[in-house]
Amino acid sequence: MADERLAILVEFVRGNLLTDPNLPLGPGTRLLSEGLIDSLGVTALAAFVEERFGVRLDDTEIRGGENETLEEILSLIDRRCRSR
Amino acid sequence: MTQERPVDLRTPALPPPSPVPPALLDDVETLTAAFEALAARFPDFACLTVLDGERRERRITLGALWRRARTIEAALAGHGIVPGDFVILILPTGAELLSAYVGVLLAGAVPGLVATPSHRVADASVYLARVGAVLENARAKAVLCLPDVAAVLGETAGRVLVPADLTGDPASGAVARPGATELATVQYSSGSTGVPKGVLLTHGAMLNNIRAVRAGLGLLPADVSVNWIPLYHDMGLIDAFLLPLLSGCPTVLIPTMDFVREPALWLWAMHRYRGTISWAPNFAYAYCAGRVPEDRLAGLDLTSWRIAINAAEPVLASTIRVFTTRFTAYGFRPEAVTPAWGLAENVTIATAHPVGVLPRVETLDRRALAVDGVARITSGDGVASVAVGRCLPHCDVEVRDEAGCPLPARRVGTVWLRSNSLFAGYRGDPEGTRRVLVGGWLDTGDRGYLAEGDLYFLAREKDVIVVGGEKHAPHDIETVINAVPGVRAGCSVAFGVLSEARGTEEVAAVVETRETDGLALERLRAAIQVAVARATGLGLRFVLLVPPGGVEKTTSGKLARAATRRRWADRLPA
Repeated sequence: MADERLAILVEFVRGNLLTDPNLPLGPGTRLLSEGLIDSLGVTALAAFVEERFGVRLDDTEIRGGENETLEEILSLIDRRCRSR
Repeated sequence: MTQERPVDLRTPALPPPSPVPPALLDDVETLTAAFEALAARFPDFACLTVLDGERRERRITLGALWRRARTIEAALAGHGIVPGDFVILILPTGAELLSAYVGVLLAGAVPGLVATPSHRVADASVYLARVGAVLENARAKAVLCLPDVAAVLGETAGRVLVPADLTGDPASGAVARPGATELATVQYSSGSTGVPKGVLLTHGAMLNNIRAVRAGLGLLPADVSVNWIPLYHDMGLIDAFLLPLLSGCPTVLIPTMDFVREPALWLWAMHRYRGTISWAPNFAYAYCAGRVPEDRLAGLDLTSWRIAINAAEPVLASTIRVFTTRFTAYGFRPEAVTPAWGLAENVTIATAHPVGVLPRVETLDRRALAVDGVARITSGDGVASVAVGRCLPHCDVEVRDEAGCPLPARRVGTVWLRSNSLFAGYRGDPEGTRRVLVGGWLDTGDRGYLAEGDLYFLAREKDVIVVGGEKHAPHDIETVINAVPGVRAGCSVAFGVLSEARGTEEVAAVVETRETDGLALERLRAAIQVAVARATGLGLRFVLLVPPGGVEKTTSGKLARAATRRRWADRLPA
């Protein structure tokens, strides 16, 4: 299940947010601070997470060093689901 | 104001025809007088539309805008605001912000717009520091914001007012009647951190620029303006709001974040309102072309779009191509692409490509450009260069060498500008003003060349990084890097690197360290990237860690960014 969601996120980020499909992208890649996506990309990613997983993330929750890898974002989604 | 209701954007809804004569704008000397004339003569004209991502559409008449503005004017007076005071507005795109802007003007005070926190990804503390610096620089008497921002501003900001504080009876006396040379707005659009620059604009300069842009683009009351660019940006406040409104054009505004979440909203708004003109920085065209799914475009009709301004950051030929190719199938006309160039110190743009004429792109010989500073056309592989157009009425540009002497055509130099819409100075910084305003001319700091009457823009000479239409000072990024343990303090440089794919700049840094161990270097790189992202919201795409001495300095010990960049060019993207 976790793997499936990770694949969905990877596919979205690669297909919609990365400008160069050859950039290395893994569960631990720091999307924002490594400059793979910018603040607009964060907003688009948050919107996608809400649409796909029904979990609302605030743009400001994803930031340098915090909730910026896909792994961290998945665990944030889990925490939100549990607390509902 | 009409009821907010979700609408079907596929159904065209032409805004009401404009009753405003073009002469109205020619007969006024201040923004205040222009609003007063519009509201008095056409109170029922529902010229403003705010559309959001939920498809709620709100139409606002000039009369409603005016009434709310007069209420705000009276409330401000009640809170001790007097003519000449500076009032900062931190409000999202919407009717309240527009009314507040006008209300502050009616009170004779000077409004300045600042981004709301949701517009940037950074620490709340960093946001507060930035706003605090703006308030201090502006010596603002009051801040108008929503309760959530008021809560974080707390006691730090002097008088903090929310919409609930701005109620009561509208003012009934005469509105302020400033002179044309008095201040109308302070513009804070550039820089993420550090010392903010408040660009002071007079009523006369703002109206002159608005009239020049209107004439240069041939804007008529029958045009329909549709925009999502943030209003705190100079291009937002002036070109997306004041220019169309005072020209009598129906004016549609979309909150920026709703465009970012769903770029197709921009296109569908152009479709619904039969939009004719829109303003955006280069990256937005790349963003839109790359991120709108094809299945969201069925039935889209962009044939009404006659002016697609591309300004505020380098205009890339590749972006124009990608956007045009993607959307011609939906009626977008390639000749609608209108590159332009300007800066806040001129209110907004000073040059624009002729409307309705295909953009002019030439290919330059790389070596002649880099070595001789000459823009020589080559038929082979080279650098694509896009013309940003010709001078608007009452604007002159010169390209000068370092000694300040005008250069002949096709020689690259610094672009100087003279116009009747130049700024009055930087707030509280007469020395900074004197540095750039010399003998009636403005040293824009931009590099470019002239050819056949067209201005072509190269990279910025000023040390400025432009990401997504917003300017960032390298110094601010370097300050953050220097504070990271393991970095040789004072020995880092940051600069922008053009990304064709992203249509904007990415940030690169060359950083000195004594560290040599591979793992430690990786950790340092990560620590630097996280620190910069936290402090500025910017991602550091390229970090080159070099041994002591790797960062070039001048003989006086100042950082030499360009020389450092050249030295490590083979290890950084072009």
